[in-house]
Amino acid sequence: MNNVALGQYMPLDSVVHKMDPRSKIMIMLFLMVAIFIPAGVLGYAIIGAFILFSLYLSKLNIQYALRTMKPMLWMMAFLLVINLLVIKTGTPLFSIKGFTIYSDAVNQTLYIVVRLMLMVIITTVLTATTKPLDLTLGIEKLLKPFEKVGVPAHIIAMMISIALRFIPTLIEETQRIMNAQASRGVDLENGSIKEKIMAILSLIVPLFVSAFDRADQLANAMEARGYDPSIKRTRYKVLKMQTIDYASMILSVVVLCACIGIWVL
Amino acid sequence: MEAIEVSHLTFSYDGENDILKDVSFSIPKGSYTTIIGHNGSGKSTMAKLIIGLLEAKKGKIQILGQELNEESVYELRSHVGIVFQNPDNQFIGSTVADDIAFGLENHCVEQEKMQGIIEDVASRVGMTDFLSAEPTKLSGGQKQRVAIAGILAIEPDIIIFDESTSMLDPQGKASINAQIRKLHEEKNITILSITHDMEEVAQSENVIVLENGEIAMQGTPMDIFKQEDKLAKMQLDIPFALKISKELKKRGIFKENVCRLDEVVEKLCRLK
Amino acid sequence: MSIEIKKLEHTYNENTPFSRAALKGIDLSIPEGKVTAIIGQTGSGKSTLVQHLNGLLIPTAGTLDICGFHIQPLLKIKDVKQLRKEVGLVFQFPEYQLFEETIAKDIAFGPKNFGTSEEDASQLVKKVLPVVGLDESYLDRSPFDLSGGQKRRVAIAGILVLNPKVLVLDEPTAGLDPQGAQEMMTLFMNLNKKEGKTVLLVTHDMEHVMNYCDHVIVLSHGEVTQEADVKEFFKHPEYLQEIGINPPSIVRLKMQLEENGFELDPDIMDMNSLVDSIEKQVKKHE
Repeated sequence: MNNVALGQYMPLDSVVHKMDPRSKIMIMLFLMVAIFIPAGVLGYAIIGAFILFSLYLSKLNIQYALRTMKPMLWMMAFLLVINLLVIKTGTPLFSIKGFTIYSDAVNQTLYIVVRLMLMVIITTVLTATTKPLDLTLGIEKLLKPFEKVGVPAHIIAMMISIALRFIPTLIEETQRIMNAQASRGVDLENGSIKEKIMAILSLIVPLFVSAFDRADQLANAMEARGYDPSIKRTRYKVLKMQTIDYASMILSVVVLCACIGIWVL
Repeated sequence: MEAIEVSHLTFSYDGENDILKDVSFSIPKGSYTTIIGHNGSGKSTMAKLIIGLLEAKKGKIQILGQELNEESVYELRSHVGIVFQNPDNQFIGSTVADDIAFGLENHCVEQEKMQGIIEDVASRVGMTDFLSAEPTKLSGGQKQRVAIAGILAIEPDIIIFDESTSMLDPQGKASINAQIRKLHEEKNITILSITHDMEEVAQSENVIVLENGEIAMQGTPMDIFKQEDKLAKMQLDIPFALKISKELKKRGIFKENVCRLDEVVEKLCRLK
Repeated sequence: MSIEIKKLEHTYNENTPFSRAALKGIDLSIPEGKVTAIIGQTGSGKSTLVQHLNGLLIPTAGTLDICGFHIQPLLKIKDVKQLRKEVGLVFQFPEYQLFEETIAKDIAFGPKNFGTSEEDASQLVKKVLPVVGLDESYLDRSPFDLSGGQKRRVAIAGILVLNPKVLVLDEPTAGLDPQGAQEMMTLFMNLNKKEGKTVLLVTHDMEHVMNYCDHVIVLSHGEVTQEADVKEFFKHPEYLQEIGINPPSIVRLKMQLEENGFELDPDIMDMNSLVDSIEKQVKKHE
């Protein structure tokens, strides 16, 4: 299960790690918007430079960042094929056995791939440099103004942080149940469709039963410790913005504005 | 005023089969009481009723002189803490410090005071070096110690242990039992421990034996262990220390029985 | 045929930054028809070792011979299903592997995976229920309505129904009350004594090791640090504490008495001979 690098926190000591999660989330949002603005090669170059610079500052291994892309490769390949088949505009580039490839198809695909790559890297930088709890705290604080219009910010944050807390536990549990059922002769690779359905059921049902058990016990523990979602709580962790936070947020806004500028002009 | 007073408590999950049948007992302040009985005898249900996670069908529970009901339950939870069986399913925070803070946050303790309290309770349970550790890096015994710290942080009057050592390895078990003993000795905390561990029962002051939702026996560990026939009928064992003490008494070496290993050793040393 | 393990190593995630050596060269011979305890602290490699026994894990170095199967690195086991039928592995908290609507169907799940016909499987189920102390009235009940102890019996029946020659049990009594634990141990002892099954027991409970096992293997940090006959094993309690294992009560008492100047024969392992020995060294009454 160690291949799941996407979204994993990397305990390193860098300026990016020390930044306020709120500013990191905001920067990510600004850049996401910027990525979707059709600002051409120049736009992507600016965004790319910003993202690569933050990757450098975060001291993350470039190889690591690239490895997180692995799961995306299939999706990219799929997009490429679809685009090549569907898009028939632009200048014809070359044809194989009567099947013509157009320039727009290649351009489109390249854009999508670049966009995806940029998005994956920026998200990786965020999640790899921010502890899940800090991330949830950041989300909670950012959603705070929306509580007035009925967004239950701290409940959302609590749900996310508990989900994150239990991911390793559930992965372990899945592995254990898989082993236990394999010992009863379950074979996930071979067998008829009916056998495969049974095999999957034999994993999913116990996993749900145990997850519900855990949820029930966890709810009891939380309640016994005085948790009540409807009342005010104080918080242990406090967030503090520093110069680097403001500076990098301003820089990301500049990147966004530049992209809008290129697009409009 | 008693720490916990349970009177004529009846409870069922489905409205038909009573899990607890007209149970009454009281637990004095500062005492150390163990509840024993087989799985399914109603022990854990009792713990959930006392902490207000379940509501009784009949009867009442008083905690520190105050009746437990919908209005008082939240306030009373700042006086009563509980450590459950499964170490994983009660660890809420993503690090030790965050988990200890969880209760403080719920009870609206000011943020400035939290760090001091967290460090203090972590050192009391020997977890100072692990404050920033994640739960996956901790053993079961360590997680249970964090659970105890989280409760100590709110300065409770009563701590309930609901089979807190039953999923731990022997080392974890020993460390939690030592922790319970220490709490009992050093501070005026009332301890109610639901357990299967006869060695732990021997270290407590009072014992309640539950059988099919009723109190079968009640008294000091020696009072209980004396009634061997009754225990045998319920298929409950006596601690090894008492077994050997009885053999020593039979041969005229001991005059009185004891039920803890350290007492056996101490007595024998005096006789050497 | 005994189980022969030679220089077995297992490294998780070999050749990655996450690489972790769980077993570092295990040499073992586990006798057939005996009850062998595998003990060691949490994280000593016990679980990794037992998962090799039915081919869930393949060694990264060394070999393993079990029930006529020769297992070695990088080689997929031919007919791994047959191996899993011969070596029944009961995981910790096996009640969490139940999933069928009825107990009969759940127990029959294993045999059907191994190609037994529906009718034969249901015959096997009827035969195995009394072995785990349940009667036929349970057949059509849902496994989820049972108590914790009963669920575990059903789960164990789901392995026993395969009639394995070797039964590997990973902490089978964890979380049970003392009575339930004792009944469970009696069940395994019967399988060993009456049906001659080789039983491997991963446990933390030294009273169980002392009372039920013939042979003990101690793992520590992925290595076998001791292998002995049970009677010999408890003669060296100092060693037990060194590796963080709490000895049985009687051994603990002996140790404390010896510290206080009593002289006790290392062979003493039962209460009566201990009391005999004490009697000679004390005056009566205080």
